[in-house]
Amino acid sequence: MCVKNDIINNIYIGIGKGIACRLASEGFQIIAVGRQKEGREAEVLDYLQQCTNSGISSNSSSSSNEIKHEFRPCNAFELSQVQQCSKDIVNDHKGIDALVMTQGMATIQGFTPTSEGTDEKLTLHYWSRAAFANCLLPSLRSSTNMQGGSVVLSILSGGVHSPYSKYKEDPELKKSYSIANAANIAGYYNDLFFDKLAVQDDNSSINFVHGKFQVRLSLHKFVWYISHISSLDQSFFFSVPGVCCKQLGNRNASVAPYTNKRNAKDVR
Amino acid sequence: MSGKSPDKCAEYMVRPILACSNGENIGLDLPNKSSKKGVYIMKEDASAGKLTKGHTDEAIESCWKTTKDVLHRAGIELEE
Repeated sequence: MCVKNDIINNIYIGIGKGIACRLASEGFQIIAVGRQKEGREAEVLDYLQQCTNSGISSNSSSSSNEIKHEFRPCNAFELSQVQQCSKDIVNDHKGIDALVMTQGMATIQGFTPTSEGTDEKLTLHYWSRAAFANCLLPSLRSSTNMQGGSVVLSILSGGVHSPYSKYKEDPELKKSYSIANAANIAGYYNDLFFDKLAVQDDNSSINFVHGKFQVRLSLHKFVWYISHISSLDQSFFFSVPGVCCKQLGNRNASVAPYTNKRNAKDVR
Repeated sequence: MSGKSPDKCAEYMVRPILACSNGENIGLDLPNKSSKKGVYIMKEDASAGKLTKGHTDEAIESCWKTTKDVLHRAGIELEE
């Protein structure tokens, strides 16, 4: 599916795909969430099924037919869509074992408001992540398949960003936008928000993790990437109990599932 | 520019999930080792990372209030 695509797929898109495929190969049911595009749902589901099959093949006691992955369309630039998507998932799945969020974009644009008035980049890197986690808390608390607790994993810049010093004067980055501030505030807010959720008694069964990824990118491709301003991965997913969340053994999940690219102009 | 392949990176990133699924320890230490609760920071090699020096109670509350306001404008209410 995304093999044909360009460099964007090799970076941001790759990590979400890689994680989804790896978990599918371990017997997790995946609910992939991303922007709607013609043919995407079939493409994603087919890929995830291949990942599942690669894990099932050496475990004769299990059947890949038991696992039905899902694709849910959602434009994470709009928090109202995030809310609706989350509500639908909570209604359809009582328990969720893990929430992984990798949506993001690399851009040199300035503050660019979404239809709801928040900055595009910060919306993907933080606001939408906070919204998803908050709205899915009921299902994450109801997970029964994870002996060590359910997991919320936000993959961005854990451990490498700096604090954003103007969190009081300019909390939404409307006046002091810069590339550095945009990067720092997103990572900083991920730390602060998920730390707050983690200490709440109701969330004692949930593990909150802010991760940092680093993928290979050549200088040539980096220049191309930045010069084209846009690109993002809105692929994040959850594993859902009740179907098959038990490991089926250690398999190698090579490639990754699905691709999602856009131009920033698309949403304006 | 260096880094890992997406597949290799994914291999590291799924470790906490697989560990929790198996009933094992999540495999990360909390940044504040004197605390029993809090957010885990995970570096690209799945080892534990640190919080920033600006990670204060005041900043946490300010972030929470801002997030509450922003999500409220979209019709989302934060759980207290």
